[in-house]
Formats: sequence, structure tokens, C-alpha cells
Amino acid sequence: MASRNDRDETVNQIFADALSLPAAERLAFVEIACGSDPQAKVEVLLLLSRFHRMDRDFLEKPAIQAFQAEGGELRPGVLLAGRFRIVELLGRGGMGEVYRAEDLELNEAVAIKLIRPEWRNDPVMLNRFRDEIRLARAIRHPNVCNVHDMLSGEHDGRRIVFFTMEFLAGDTVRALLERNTALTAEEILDIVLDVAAGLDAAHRHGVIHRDLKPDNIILLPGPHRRAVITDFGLAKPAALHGSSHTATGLVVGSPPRTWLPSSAWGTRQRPPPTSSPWESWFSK
Amino acid sequence: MQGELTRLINEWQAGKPGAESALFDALYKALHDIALACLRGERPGGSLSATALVHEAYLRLRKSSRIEFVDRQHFLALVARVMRRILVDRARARTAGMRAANRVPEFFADLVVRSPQEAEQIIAIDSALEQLSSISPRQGHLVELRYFAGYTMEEAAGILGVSARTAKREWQIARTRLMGALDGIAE
Repeated sequence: MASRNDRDETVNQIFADALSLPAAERLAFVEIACGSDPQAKVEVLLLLSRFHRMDRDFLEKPAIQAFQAEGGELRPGVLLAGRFRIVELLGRGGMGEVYRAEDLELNEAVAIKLIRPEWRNDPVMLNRFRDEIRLARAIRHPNVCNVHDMLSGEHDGRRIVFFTMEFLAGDTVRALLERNTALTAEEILDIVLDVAAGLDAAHRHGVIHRDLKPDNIILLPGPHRRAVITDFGLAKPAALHGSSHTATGLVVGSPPRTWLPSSAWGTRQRPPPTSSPWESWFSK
Repeated sequence: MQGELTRLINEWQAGKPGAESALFDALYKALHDIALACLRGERPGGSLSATALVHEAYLRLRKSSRIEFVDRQHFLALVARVMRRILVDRARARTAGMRAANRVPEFFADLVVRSPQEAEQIIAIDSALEQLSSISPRQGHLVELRYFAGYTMEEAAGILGVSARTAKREWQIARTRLMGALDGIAE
């Protein structure tokens, strides 16, 4: 008499063999394979029926995909670089986590954007970030999120490299759209004009956003409503090597005089700046 | 920390008593952190693939230490066991309603299951898997490797020491039997 395990094994093998046949042939196969063992036949048919009822994807998706990460690398209350007190995690961008913090030196709110851990000790990446922060903070305009500085600090024995920038206390256009907020035609026009003004300011410095979308436009409410473009060139983790794209998304290439929007609109072209701070990019 | 893991792995490979459980605990913390980093998008490629996570752990260990992996497959099997424990623990934490506002979490950043339903399913599968493993250890092991560690069929076959074809057959049997055990639990 076959032991329980031997029987199970036989049943398993007949079941597996049956599966390799087209569905129409399975029953006949099981009849033959089980021969004079009605118990085995019952068990195989039970397995087949269960297999048939089973979700195609059952167990195919790894369990980890049911999870997400809560909390950021820094906890509220952490003091960074002896000056910035973390308030809360705002979100995660392409470049890293973004926090709201309190600047204890100036008693102001700031936004802090951490550089991804794997880039923090990479000299090539850090040099690129330095160059691009010089560029980005040269754009001073009410419709462009002001970037302040690039700093580093220690936390938990780890080096943290981060940017400080203007904290914008408003919702992204994306969030407003998702909440089905009704915007009047006039409000939309105001946003478009603000964004155009911000882009124009950037273009005059030879910077293209490259990733403009509702997620990157924040609306500041109140009596001085304005739309502000964020993640200006500091968002896309683009390919690192050999391309004309920088890691942070600012486009390097032809000198700004070839694509100032004023030329597109038919007004007089501006002469290029006499000394361009981004000359070093072109020689790469 | 890396030095510690190296030492533990070497001791485990040498067969020192108690080494496996010490290594298990150390891997638990390390894998939890790596999983979080992957889910937070701090790994290249963006979203997490379970296999990528485990390989990440393996690469980190190999890179930062001079571990001679005598038995890579054995190590990957151990990692899968650790992953299973981590994920089931995290799923239980959610369903037990332990995420009260003023409770200090064990790790300040945490793996959180997306919904109570998915948490229930993971816990149920873990339970059913115990049953399956007691009857068919190889099938149980296969499910642990593929579902909890997310290894591919080929990788799992390598760890089990069978052909990919055999693994595929066993996989269908294991899934079907596990489904039966789950129904049994539900009743």
C-alpha cells in the first residue's frame, strides 16, 4: 500500500502532466493515468478544478509589492547642518526627498531637498550639482522657486547633501486637478501667464525646464496669488554619461541666443551675454 | 556594521553554533533598510523588484567586505527566509492596529502594507505555507523563494538544485495546493 507521501507524489505528477496537455484532453488523460485508483482520480480532479478556479496571478506577484515606505530618511525634529530643523516630509521627487524645515538662523520656513544617497559621495555628481545650483539660483523671479544654497550636514553618521530653497505654501496644480477644483478661465489664464513669465526668466539664463507638468507648478493662494515653477532643472535623474543632458535636467548645448522666447515671438533678439558663466559646460 | 555582517557570515559558513540565528537577526535589519531604500526610490531603476532588493543586499555585502561566498545558493535561501519574516511581521503590525499615533515605531521609517486586505492575505499565505511545508518541504520552499523573496523561476530552481522545468511543474502544484490550504483556513 502506497504511503501518504507516495500517493501525494503520484497525484502531483499526474496533475502536472495533465496541465501540460490541452484542456480538452485532460480528463481522458486522468482517466487512463489513474487507472484502477479511484482515490487518486478524485484527488487529481480536485487539484485540476482548483487550478481552474484559481486566479491566474495567484502568488505570481512578490509579497514586497504590497508594501510601501512610510516616513523619510529624516525624522521631524532633526537638526541639519546645525541650522535647519526638519518639520515634515513633503514628498519624493526624482532627485530625492523634499522636506519642509525651519531655518533657525533667519527664522523662516525653507524647503530642503536631499540628494539621493547614492550620489552624495560621488565627486562627479557633486560637481554637477554645484555648477547647476550656480545657474539655478541666478534665476530670481517671482514665478520661479528660488533656490538658495547647497549644503551638507551629518546625520546618524551619514553625510547628507541637500539644497535649500524657497518654501512654497500651496498646492500643486496636479493636486488641485485631482481634487476636481474648479478653476475659472481667468484663474487659468493667470496661471499660464505666470508660468510663461517664469519660463521666460529661465530662458534668459539659458535654462530650459525639460519637465514642466502640473506636479511642478505650485499655486500660492491668497491676496497675492501666483503660480510658481518648481523642480527647475533639479528633478530629472537623467543619464549621467556622455549626453548633453546634465544629471539634474538643465540643458547644455547651444548658447542662449538661439532660443530665447523673445526671438520666437518676433521681437528683437538680445545679444548674448559677454561672459557666460556656463562656458565651461560647452567644453565637456 | 558591514564588518559585523562579514564576521557573522563567515561564522555561519564555518558552521559555528548559534551563528545562523545571529546572522538572521543582522540580516533582518539590513534587509529592512535596503527594502525601504528601494521603495523610497533611492535605487537606480525606480520601483522595487523583489529580486533586485535581494541582489542589492548580496552586492552590498560582497562589495564592502571580503566575504568568500562558499555557498551562494545557501545564502540566498537564508535571505529569502529573512524576507519572509520581515514582510509577515510588517503585515501583522498593520492588522494588529499597532500604528497608533503616539506609539513609537520600531524603526522610524517603516515598511507599511498598502491595505488591510493585502496584509490579511500575506498572513494567511504564511500560515498556509507552514502547512504546505510540513507535507511537501520542497514545494513550501519554492513558494518562499518566489513569493517572499521574489526570485525568478530560474533562480529558485538553482537554489533548490533542480532544473527550471522541474521547478515550473512544482510551482503549479505548490500554488494549487496552497490555494487549497488557504480555503481550508478560510473555512
